[in-house]
Amino acid sequence: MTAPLDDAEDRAIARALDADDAASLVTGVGSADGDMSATDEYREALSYLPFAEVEPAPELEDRVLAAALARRPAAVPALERVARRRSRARRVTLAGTAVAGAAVISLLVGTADRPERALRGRIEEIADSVTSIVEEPGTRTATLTAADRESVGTAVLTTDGDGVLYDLALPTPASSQVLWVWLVTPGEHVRLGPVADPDTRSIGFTVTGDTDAVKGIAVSAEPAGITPSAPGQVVAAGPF
Amino acid sequence: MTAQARDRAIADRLAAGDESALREVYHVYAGAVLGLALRVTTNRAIAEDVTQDVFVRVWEQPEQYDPARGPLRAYLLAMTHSRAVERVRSEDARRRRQETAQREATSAPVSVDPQQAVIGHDVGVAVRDALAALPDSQRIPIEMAYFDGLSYRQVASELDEPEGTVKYRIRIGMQKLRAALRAVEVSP
Repeated sequence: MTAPLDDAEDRAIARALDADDAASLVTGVGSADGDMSATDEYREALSYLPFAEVEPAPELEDRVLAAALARRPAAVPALERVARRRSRARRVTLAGTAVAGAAVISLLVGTADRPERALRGRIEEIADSVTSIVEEPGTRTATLTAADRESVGTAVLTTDGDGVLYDLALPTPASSQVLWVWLVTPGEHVRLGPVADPDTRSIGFTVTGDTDAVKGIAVSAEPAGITPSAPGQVVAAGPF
Repeated sequence: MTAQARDRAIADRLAAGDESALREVYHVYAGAVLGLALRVTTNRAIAEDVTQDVFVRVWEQPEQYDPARGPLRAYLLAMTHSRAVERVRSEDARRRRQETAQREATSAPVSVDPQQAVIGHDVGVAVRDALAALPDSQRIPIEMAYFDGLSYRQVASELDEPEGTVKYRIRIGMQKLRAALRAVEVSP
């Protein structure tokens, strides 16, 4: 027989401890605001009790994200996932070509004795490959230009929402800034995500919904450590 | 930016369906969530299931978290604890717990020193100090109820004490922890 829980204080404590004694409470009696406020404080106090944090296996992150996104698709997909998914899939698609190409370019750049001409040739080869896909009906392109009107990359968006930025030569942000990529739609900019490495040559992304609503793409420099709700200093942009 | 403002910002991004927010929450809190789940269940597979449940829930129902009611960490750990206790209380999990307790104990997970886990966090330090200052007669029943998922009656049985006595000691101890929490949160 469970001892009676006398008052709101006891109910809040039992609830915070998940003591199954709490189940014996009459539904509703313990749900008053005061009770819940106390329960919240007790739960917070308990969250600081000492226990060892455990490093999750890398596979767990994939599993958790897959399960979460299966239940509720992302309205704003993470760039990291899109790029990684395409890289793994090795698909010969627009994005797959560019991502694979970027990997080769990185290798060439990292090899000091590679002649500059070889690197240049490789970039042109990738551009040729993308060009053939760009000619598919409905696919749109945008040339990203910086403030000095120099081209700093090209964006492509297919009718099924696959997109890629390639041939990127983005301006280097100040040390206290991070570059963010945005989709330009009527009335607002939709945040795609931060650019982890300003030297990256390509970025894949996916647009869900009405791709025709995407009128352009922009890159902005934002203070590090914040998630901007709208672009601040636009450093490159281009219309589709 | 205050901790509450940060939690509110991340909650807004979760509500907007921003996948990178989910990744951030996972990267920051997965170690604590898995650690608590493992501490309660003593079973790695079950603890990983609990961890998955927690992050799927926060992604699927982001509106359930109200920053005004406390830190995101406390919310996630309360959910973790609740789910872990549910699992422990199921007969199947209880059996597996017994079978694997020895194995889990000998294959120590990569972990941080619990003494270090909350260093640098004023609230955590204050609560831990308050816990350490509790007499064993109050501290032990709280830890048994929380980490082992035991009811008051089970704690009383384990300690061979009257249930009313255990309940009273838990109440006094918990009030001291809450007081430590409030003292830090209201101080400048």
